[in-house]
Amino acid sequence: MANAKEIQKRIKSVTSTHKITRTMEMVATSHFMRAVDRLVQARPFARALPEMLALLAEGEAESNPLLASRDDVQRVALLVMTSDRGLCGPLNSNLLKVTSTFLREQEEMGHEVDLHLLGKRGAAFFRFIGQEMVSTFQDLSPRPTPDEGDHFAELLKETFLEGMVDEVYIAYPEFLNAAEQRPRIERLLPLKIEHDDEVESTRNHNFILEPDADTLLDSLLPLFLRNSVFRYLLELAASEHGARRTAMKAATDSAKEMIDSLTLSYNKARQGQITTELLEVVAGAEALK
Amino acid sequence: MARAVACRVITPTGIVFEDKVNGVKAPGFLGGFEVLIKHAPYMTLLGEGHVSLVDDESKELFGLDIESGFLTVADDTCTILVERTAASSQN
Repeated sequence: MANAKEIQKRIKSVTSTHKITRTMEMVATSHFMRAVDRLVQARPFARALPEMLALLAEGEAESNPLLASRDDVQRVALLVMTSDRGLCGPLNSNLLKVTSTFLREQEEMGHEVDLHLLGKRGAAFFRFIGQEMVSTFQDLSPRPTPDEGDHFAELLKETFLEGMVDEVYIAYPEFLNAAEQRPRIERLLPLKIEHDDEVESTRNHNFILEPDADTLLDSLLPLFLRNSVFRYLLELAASEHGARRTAMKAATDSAKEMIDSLTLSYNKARQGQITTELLEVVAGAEALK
Repeated sequence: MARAVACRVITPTGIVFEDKVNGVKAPGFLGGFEVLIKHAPYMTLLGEGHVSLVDDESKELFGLDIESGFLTVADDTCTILVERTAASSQN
């Protein structure tokens, strides 16, 4: 058993780690609450857009280049959204695992993949395994804005419309709750419009469209695309802070357990030391008699 | 008179107005227009200008300068999606 002095040193070191992880947990909690609030606030717009589109898209689906699927898919683009910073548990590694599987599947289907990376963690991983990347973006804002979403949406839209790729996918951590984030890959382009059944009843109204369905679609579809990317950025931010909070809570709990166990060992060692000293004193006194 | 058009103004970052109003004045694609009670189902592109939600005395309850947006109305429910706002004011 280590002596009391050594154990005391370890307790001091673990206590200092405990303080750091506890502070990080509190900071992550505060960021997390704000990120979730932003995600919730953005939902009404994200829900209203497909409802509006559903009123128009019927029958127009194949005529708009953003909705038209291509028969012979040869090249796809994939935007992978990871965090810039670590200490967020398995968030990035889970997403990169799913991404690697997706890349293998695309390769098996004979599709080439243009990889776009968001976040330092993902870029570092693909650089390490020697995977070529078309573009990388770092230093994302912790508070994503619609303008940031526009930037990525425009880039992906251009590559799709110019025919450089036939499909565009996005890999992101879907936010379920503070403790759970699910890595997901969704097709972004050609666009899929999903809506509630309630819209069916609204569709039966004979809507007056101004100026006309085509012009409305031409404006609504790019907005839908931009907003989708903005929503993915919000999901990433909420997932990152949620995962960091969970990871820091686990670290804080482990540190606390370690401190308790070390304190017990310290007390035992100190007790042993006192007993030894007492025995020595008694033995010394006996010898003097 | 009771306000009867349920109106929601939504931006990408949240709902900025949600209440019943008597009229909605907005800058449409072909010019300004006003939505009143029992308006026919209508969907339009909004241009740059001022969206104004008014009560029965035409007093503005909520106003918003917008750059672009969309408006739908059906069954006395009006939804305005605003992608970009210039400035907002609330009385």
